[in-house]
Amino acid sequence: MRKLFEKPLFHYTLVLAMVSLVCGFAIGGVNAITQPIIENNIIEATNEAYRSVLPGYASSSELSISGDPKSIQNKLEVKDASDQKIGYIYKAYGTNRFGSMLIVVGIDNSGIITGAQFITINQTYQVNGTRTNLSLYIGSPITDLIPNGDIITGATFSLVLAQALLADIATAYENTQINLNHSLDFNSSIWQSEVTIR
Amino acid sequence: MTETKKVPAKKAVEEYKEPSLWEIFTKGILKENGLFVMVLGMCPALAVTATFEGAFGMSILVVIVLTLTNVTISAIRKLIPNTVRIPVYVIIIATEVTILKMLVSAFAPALDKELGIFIALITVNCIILGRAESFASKNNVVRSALDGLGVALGFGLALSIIGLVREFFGTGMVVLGKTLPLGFEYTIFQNVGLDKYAFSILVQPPGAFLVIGFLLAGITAFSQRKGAKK
Repeated sequence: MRKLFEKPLFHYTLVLAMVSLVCGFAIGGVNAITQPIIENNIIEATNEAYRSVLPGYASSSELSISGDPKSIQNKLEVKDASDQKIGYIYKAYGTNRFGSMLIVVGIDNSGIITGAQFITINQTYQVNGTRTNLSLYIGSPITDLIPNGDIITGATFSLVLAQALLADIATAYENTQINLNHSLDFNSSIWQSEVTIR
Repeated sequence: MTETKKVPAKKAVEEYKEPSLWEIFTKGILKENGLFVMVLGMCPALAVTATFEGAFGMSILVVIVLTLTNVTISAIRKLIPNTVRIPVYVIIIATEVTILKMLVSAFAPALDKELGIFIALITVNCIILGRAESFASKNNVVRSALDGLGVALGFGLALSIIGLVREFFGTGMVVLGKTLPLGFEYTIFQNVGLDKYAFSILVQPPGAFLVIGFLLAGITAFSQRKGAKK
């Protein structure tokens, strides 16, 4: 057994395994303590972002995201204090070669972007430029994304990702409108058939 | 042709005086400053110094990681075989940075949002691995701790100066308490009207190169002048 320990390969493997094990336990221990707090922080940040991207936000109900692009994580129908629908909020996540980003975008009933915010922004390059890029789209119609921040900020790759996420949100928004119109048509056809029967 | 005076090896060893703890601590702050003298760790210096608070936050994190890494590596240096020392150092540094990232995400979410992925990238900061390899692996825990603390404070001081210069000249004011959990929010020079004369390019990425370039030039000129006087 002693001879086995004296073999360099075994010795190196053992040392690396022991160090990795200790480090793994340390990470696991800290993760167990901090994970609930981090999750709570993300929920709070998300709720704060929801309120700030769509002025008048009082309550929301979650809509189905089946059929929407994969980057869409959440879709909410938002109502104001008088229980009137004021728009939608979309949460989208995407990655590029410089990292990832999680954004929240508020859209009013006429399809105008009322607010856009980052919940997490893990980009190794041009973080401030990336923030500027997203803010440039506030006030634009979601289905007609004209602004181009590249010239202003120089953050090309993050702009491409932000634009891709906004395009996905536009698709999801159109899906929501189609579903809404479909249900309205369906309701009106029921109403008409009821009228005919009477 | 210049003649070099040969010193016997034995005499050279006798003449070598081990630096005191104070010398170990202070050399990293000014004489061997990681950023302004050694020009190491330029990635965070360019990326997170747009605001003073961001730069100061990163400085605190680097101080914690570098001191902890030096202490840990120094403490276990006799147990680590020479062949696998670098992977072991990398595992230790990555573990400490991961733990720190979790703690920052939990207890200072605004700082986490400001620094983003650059907290995780402390792992690949060459100053940290450099000190582990060149100092902590050869010295005792106390000396390694002081070396790590000194070098990190020097690096942090440099980052904070760059951040302060960029934010002040780039926006005309300095915001405190927005990113760091200070418990209050205060803006220095807010109503002075300096924002009209701000060079906004300094808070943009090219501003980092400009400020670091001017500071490096100034420090080099100063040290050369000092050297010439001697």
